[in-house]
Amino acid sequence: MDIARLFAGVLKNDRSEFDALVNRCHRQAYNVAYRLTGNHADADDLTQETFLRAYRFFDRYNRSMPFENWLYRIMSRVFIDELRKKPKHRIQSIDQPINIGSGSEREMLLEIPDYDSNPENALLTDQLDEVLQTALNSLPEEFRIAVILADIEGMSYEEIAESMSCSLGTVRSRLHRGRKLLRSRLTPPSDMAARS
Amino acid sequence: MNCRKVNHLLSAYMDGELPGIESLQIRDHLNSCQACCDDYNELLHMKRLLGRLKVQTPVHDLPVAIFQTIRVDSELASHRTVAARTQELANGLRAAVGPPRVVAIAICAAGLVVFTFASRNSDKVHSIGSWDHSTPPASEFTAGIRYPDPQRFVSTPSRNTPGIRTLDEVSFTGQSYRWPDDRLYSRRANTPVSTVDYTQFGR
Repeated sequence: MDIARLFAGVLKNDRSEFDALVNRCHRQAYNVAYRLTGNHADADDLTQETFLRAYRFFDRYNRSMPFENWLYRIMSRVFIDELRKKPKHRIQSIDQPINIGSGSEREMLLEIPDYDSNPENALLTDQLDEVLQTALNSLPEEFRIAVILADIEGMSYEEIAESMSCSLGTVRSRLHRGRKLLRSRLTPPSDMAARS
Repeated sequence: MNCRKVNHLLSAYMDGELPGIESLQIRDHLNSCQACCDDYNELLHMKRLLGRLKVQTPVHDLPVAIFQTIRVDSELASHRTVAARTQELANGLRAAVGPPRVVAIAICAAGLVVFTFASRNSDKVHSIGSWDHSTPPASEFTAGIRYPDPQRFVSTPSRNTPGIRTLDEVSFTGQSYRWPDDRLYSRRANTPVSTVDYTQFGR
């Protein structure tokens, strides 16, 4: 077998491996992206850009490292580098069709999932979700990433350090400060005054 | 261990990321300090709330969108590669030959030389022979036009018109003669003429 065919075979294998990883990880990655950005539109952009960069540099992916950790490393960089430049909020009407490709047939309506059949619980969950997300959005990016990876993704400090390309000490410090800030955002000002 | 230090380590303690000794010290402190214990419980509560946040799912078929983005990007990348190679080639040429203005001048000069040489060559008139007038002409008349007698053609082969002995070997062209010196000329060296206006040879 000549080199070109061998190379083509490797590329084909890489592509099929990558496709399988996209299918396996996209939901998890999207959830993290949503928690980082706070809205669906930016989460969508962030996830797509993350997977695009992962594809570009897939030959550098070290198979001994979990793919998710490598993906979150890319996502952290993309998030810090690019989404900072964008406007913070996008307005999307719930009645407005979402274009998911080229052509008019590639449009669909926004589906709002029903997570709880009990309306009261659903309302409470949604309210709590909104409050927590607003508090998360107020954190500096590095703290937000650390808190999300630790508390939502349940990653260890070592994995977070790997994903954020920093030391364990930095992870510990970012988590400590991030949680402290988050708590201050979630605690009513009167309670904070009484505490101090 | 005092409250200040414990406060700094509470987060790592909660995550189980502290070495055994420090972890034990903090546990002892929390058992004895209500304020730190309250802080710890608040942190733990917050961590649990974050862990219970509902999982957000994409609003459309995300893998399809990802693969489409990759395909578009790959196409753009291939275009960028062609452009980059062209640029590299141009840079290489510039480095090897010089700035574009010099290259353009050189090309123009070379073109001018080639054109001059070619036009000089094509305009050059070569004699391929003449008519013998030592005997009275036996020309024929057709529709009032007098033709030269092919039998009276005497070829004068030269380096530019080799192999021409009789008029049968000559293909005439309208621009291939000169009158009235009775000589038949070829405008292009080594190239037989294709047509001729015989009236020019009438006497």
